Amino acid sequence: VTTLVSAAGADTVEAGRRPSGLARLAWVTWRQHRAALIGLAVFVAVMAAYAVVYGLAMRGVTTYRCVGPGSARVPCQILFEANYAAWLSGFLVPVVIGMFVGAPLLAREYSTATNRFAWTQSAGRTWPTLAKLILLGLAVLAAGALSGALAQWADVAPDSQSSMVFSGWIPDIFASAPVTEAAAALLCYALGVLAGVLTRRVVPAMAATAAAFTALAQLGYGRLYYWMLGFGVRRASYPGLGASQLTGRAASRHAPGGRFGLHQAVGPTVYGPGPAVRWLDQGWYADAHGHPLRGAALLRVIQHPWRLTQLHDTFWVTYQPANRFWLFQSVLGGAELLLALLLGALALWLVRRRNA
Amino acid sequence: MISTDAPAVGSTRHPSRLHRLTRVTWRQHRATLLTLGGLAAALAAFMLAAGLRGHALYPAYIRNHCGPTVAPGLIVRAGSPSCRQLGGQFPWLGYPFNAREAVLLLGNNFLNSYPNEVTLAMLALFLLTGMFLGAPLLARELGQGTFRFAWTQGTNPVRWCVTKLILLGGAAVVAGAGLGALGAWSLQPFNLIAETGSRWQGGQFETTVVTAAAWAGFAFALGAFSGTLFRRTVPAMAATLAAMGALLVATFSKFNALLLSFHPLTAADNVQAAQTGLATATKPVRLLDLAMNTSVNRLNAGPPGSLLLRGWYTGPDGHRLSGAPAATLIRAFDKLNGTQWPAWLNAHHDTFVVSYQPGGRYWILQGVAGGALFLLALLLGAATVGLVVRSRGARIRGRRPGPG
Repeated sequence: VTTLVSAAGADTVEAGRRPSGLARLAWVTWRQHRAALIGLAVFVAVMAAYAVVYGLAMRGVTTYRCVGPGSARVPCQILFEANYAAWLSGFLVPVVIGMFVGAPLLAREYSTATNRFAWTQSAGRTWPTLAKLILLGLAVLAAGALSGALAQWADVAPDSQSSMVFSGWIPDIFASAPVTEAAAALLCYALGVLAGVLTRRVVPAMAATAAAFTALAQLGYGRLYYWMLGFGVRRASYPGLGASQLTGRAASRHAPGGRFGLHQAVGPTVYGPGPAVRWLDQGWYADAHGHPLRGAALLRVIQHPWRLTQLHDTFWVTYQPANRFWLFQSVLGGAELLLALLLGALALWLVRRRNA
Repeated sequence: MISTDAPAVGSTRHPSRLHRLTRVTWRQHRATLLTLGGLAAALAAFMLAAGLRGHALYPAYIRNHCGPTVAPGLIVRAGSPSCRQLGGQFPWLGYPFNAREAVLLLGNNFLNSYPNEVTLAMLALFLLTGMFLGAPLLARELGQGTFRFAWTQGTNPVRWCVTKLILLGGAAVVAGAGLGALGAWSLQPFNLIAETGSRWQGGQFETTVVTAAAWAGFAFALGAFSGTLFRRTVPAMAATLAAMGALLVATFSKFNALLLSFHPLTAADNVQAAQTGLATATKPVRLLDLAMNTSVNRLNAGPPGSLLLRGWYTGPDGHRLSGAPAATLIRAFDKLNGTQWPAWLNAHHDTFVVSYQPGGRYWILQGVAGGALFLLALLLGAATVGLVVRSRGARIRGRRPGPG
């Protein structure tokens, strides 16, 4: 009797004190990866500080004469950093997360053979691994979203005159928006985890993660991005853009006429009144009836584009309106998220399939 | 006879100690060396292709007067058919739109971005050398405990460590110097066309034959030191990334400006004022010094080959303009266009003064920047050896074997 009572009493007391399974897994995950998580927090804080300093400098720059004589001088040169600031956030943050959080996550278990102990406990290998992946993945998502939000604030200047350079539609800046950057961070993290499972060694997994994400980013924002923005475009007449000498020169490269790629972010007031364009896809010179100009008629316009209206011609563009920005963010971010989930699932499947 | 012959035969068969250490170093690090070597070769091939094309096309480009001119707000390129054709052939010149993207005001085509991209790629490669070659060099031995075996063999651990540092660090320095020399040669036509590039420009200044070698050596030494200090590979790699990143940021944002602004010369240059314009503060309205940081080339007047640092306006008495004369000058600038500006200044006996770093000092300043980095690298290398000497592994080596 004594034995029974004491055993039951002990169980009751322990059940009251013992934390839930998830809390215990979270605790173990924290203990194992606290150095990486603290490092990640410090890294994001440094990037955030840079974004704030850069963003504040950007907001001061419009008080100077940055268009006209002296445009290439300091402090206007902060404008030249625009793409680097976006690139730092949109590329470097995911790569560092993938290399230092994702790649060592399971590679270290394999390379130091601690998986033989860790994965032969009562919890098995699936749940602890899944819990680790999800908990660290949530931290990664939060870090990416925070870094992206600050980069977006810093890069997209409120000054419409500069909006060709600081538009959120420019690939580097598009990649550093909160949705896309959080998804990219998770994707690179998943790449790191999978590379760690495949190579079972930390340093090669880190190198593979950096290489694979660089290739994916190049493919995504060098090719797929422009392809994606070609879908569902609207069409409008934009004589202000056609009258620009530079547009005339661009058209001259595409003789004998027809549509040519503009692939350019544009602000609302850059070329005078026009449609609510944020991303120009294609453009072509056309006559008063809307037929594309060719031959001598096109040559006449190309040589004197500022006489476009006098010649009774016009310039047509296909474009994406401003209100589709978040739609495309969701599409690209969603695709990255889906790919990340697939890679994570593949890594988990490999873990389950292998003998400890 | 037999006994005297035997060592001679043995000595021809056995390679020297250095040879053996070299072989072991190669065997241990061949994967990393091959990967980094492949990346360096790819970058070199890219720079070689762009450089050959640029050097071949540049004479025709200048002969046909295709060089750009500066107009308010944008850089204007000649629009003749021959220039368009040459521009199209020039490596990714983007004339004026490149294949996919165009930025009209600031320029983001290949000509403008090539110097930045190529120098960034070089610095990234040096960073990777520090992270993937330097950091694991001793961290892996110490972290995995293999030093207990490796450092108790015939070779002294200190000699072992020094040999590895010299061999791999030397390879990094030589590769860095080669890439720097090739990069400078490949950038020559881009700088001569002179839209934005210059050897003084941040990025190019850090990747000449001298500074590229110094950065490569420094990155490697930093990695090796972090590895020995942390004794674990991943933290050592993270520390290398953080320290190298911090030094690069500090160099680009502060150190370069400090070095290049050391003891400048000054000259009156009203022609330069037409391109530079002026900077003003609004409350109260006053003239500000212009931070120029631009080199003298086909687009900029000034002492040939020099780096223009700052510019300011002075009155007939030689003092900086302020008060009513400054307000008059600001009002006049708003009314006139750039070409009339030097004549207005001459008529009013005002002068635009520039401070500059003459072209003849370029390699002296390179020597200072590179020398400082080499010195840091040597100090880090010495500190690494010092840590190895103090480490447990070295003490194990020095201990006499016990009875057990």
